[in-house]
Amino acid sequence: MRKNKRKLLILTICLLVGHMSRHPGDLTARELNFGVSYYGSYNDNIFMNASKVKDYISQLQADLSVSLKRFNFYLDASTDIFIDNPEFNSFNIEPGIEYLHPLKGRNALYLDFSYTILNYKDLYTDFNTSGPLIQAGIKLYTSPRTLLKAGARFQSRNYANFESFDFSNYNAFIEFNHFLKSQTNLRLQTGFNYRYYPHILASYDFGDNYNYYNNRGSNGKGKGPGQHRPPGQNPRYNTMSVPNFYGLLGINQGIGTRLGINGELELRANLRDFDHASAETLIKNAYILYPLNDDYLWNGARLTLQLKMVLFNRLAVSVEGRVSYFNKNYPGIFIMDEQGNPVEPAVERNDSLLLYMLKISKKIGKLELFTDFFYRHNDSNDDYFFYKMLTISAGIGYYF
Amino acid sequence: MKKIAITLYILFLLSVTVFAEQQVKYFQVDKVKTIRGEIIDIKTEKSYHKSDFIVIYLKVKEKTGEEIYRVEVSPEWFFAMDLMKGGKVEVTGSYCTVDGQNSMMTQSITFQGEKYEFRDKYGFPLWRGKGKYMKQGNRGQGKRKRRGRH
Repeated sequence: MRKNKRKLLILTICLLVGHMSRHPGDLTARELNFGVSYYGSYNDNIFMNASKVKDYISQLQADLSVSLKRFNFYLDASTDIFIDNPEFNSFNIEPGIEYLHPLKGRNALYLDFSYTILNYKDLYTDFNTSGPLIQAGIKLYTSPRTLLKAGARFQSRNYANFESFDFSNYNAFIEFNHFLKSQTNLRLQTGFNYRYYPHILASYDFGDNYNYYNNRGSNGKGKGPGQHRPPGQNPRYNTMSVPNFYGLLGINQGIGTRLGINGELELRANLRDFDHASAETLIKNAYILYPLNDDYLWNGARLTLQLKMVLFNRLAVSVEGRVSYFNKNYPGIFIMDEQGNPVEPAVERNDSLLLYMLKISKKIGKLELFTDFFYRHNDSNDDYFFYKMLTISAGIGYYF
Repeated sequence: MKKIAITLYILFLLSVTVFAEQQVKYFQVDKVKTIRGEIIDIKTEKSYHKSDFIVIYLKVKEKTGEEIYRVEVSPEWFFAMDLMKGGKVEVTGSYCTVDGQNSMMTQSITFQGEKYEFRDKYGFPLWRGKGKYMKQGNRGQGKRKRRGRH
């Protein structure tokens, strides 16, 4: 599996280098771009669970890119600094290459290859991860009012300190857009998600029988003691995969030119349940249950209503508001009691999530100011995931 | 003789004016205006420096009746808007006429509540020497992602 990934990376780089050597003109329009931003936020529940751990988070970000006409080489770096929970501070670096190939008409082919390295401090080093992301997309105008898009995405994450967390995401989609005279854009998308865990260790030494459920009384951060292989034994691995099929209907309605309303309905179906025995290690460490990491795992429906507005054309104040409702079911994951024991009779976890978002941004020359408001209300039949979360953020960016 | 000289001088001035009007192919800050109209066509055309540019033909209702504007936007690799025929847009840019055709060099386009910028207020193209993230193209995906906890 890893050999195949390496071969794929080498092949991608060879293709890019080969193309550049055949098209030296692509190297002429060189532009160097640099930007820095600061993003400060207050979050009253940073782990998105019943623990309600709040914090003030500062994110500093610097982005550098060199554009060579069709190619764009970039290097993004950011750090998250937590005031009350400094052990969760992290540093992220992501180099990458983008390539855009214009085809006839306004059709285009897009490729992106990047590599992410994310490192945490102290207690959270089990969550240190690195790995590639490869994306490809194509858009084709089949008529003046019809646009077809298709894309594929591969992401791999390697957890050097806790290999059971290793995973790969695969996604492929096709999208049909049709624009009507009424200023309505109809969008139909269907796709396939596939999450694969290749290295779930079959046996562990958990030391003090730690699991995040029975630790919820302290800070509920769900941090395990790390993965310790039994000495002198060759590790035995389990694998687990979750194939997920989805369909999406979107309607974008323009009202005048400065107001747009979008509605989206998405339905997802897991074609295979979690293998609970294999998933136990991941569940005990809260990893697969972390709300921002479950995108490829849930079964159910999402309904989103979004409003975009340009308030003053000259001043370029952009306002975006969004309300989403999710009904998520996790096939194969069963709710647990306070001590982390399965509840009898077994009941699958089911969440209803309401998400509100408001974002205002304004550009003043090279400066960009932005402020965000997020509110999540997750209602779950597992008490641990019954939570509310509020985030208020403001930031400033300067792009040279 | 004097009459001939004056006539030639007037003809010269007129020719310069006409020539200048026909050849305006640069962004003039004092000619910036905003128009709203319906897209009747979107094409890729060779620009004055021989690269492929996205050009939108816009039907605009004016006091004098309907006018067609040729709106020059950006190199095609920078243009990431999914605009289609029939879409109503608001274009801000530098106005000129080229061979009698109403023309705009685009500064920004607003469509369905989103504003896409192509030049700064001085007319400097954002596809040259600007932060990648200010670009509308973002090569399809955009890299400016905050790893926020939302």
